[in-house]
Amino acid sequence: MTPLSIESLAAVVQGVSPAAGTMPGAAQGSGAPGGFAQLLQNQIADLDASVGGAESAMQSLASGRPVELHEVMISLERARLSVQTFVQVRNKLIESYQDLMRMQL
Amino acid sequence: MDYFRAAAISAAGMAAEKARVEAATLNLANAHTSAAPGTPGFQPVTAVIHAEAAPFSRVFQGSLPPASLARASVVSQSGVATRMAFEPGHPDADANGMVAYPAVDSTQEMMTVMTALRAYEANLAALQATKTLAAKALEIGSNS
Repeated sequence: MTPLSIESLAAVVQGVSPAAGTMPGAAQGSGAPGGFAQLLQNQIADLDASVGGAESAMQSLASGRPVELHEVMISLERARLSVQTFVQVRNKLIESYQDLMRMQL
Repeated sequence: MDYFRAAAISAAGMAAEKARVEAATLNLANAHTSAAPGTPGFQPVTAVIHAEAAPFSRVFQGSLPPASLARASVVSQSGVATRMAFEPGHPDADANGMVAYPAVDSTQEMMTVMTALRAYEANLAALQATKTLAAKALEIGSNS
């Protein structure tokens, strides 16, 4: 697992941010242009941290360091939950984008 | 994520119960360890569980009350009489032919193992419930 894949996601979100900033609703809701993209980036950073934590816990376990098995499993679950949360956010984002694209003008 | 507050508490409980199992295992493993006359020999241990102060940062954020996480420490039992067995041929026998063994009660140790196992399972069930909460919360977003 490389953190690169998540970093590249963050780059994609940075590309999205001008579009999010031009939406009046988004700008009002977050108080600043690009606020939502910032939120998403923070979430990606959180996801990256939890996946990295799970990875290092598994490495510790595999290399025979004295780690608690349940701690490793909890960190794995934490990473899974973070990924699922992020996927849901991504689904919502794509969904709203598609709703906008389908809009008849 | 806030769901992992409950996970941290469960993890502390599980670690504490594991320490109880370890203490009982140590006692059972050394139940027949003899001691030469004049030496202390093996002292039975017990796991003492205290509510330990949570990390200050977590208390400061209000995410955990102070003194909340269960933390076990394995300590030697003091003042436990040794079990004397008459074995004149044993290398550790004293002048009267008695050999000193630690006073480990196998039944009690097995009970400790069983109760610790059940308590571990209870912590695990609580942790699973926390997981289910989070998974169900994520279902709010799905439109299927």
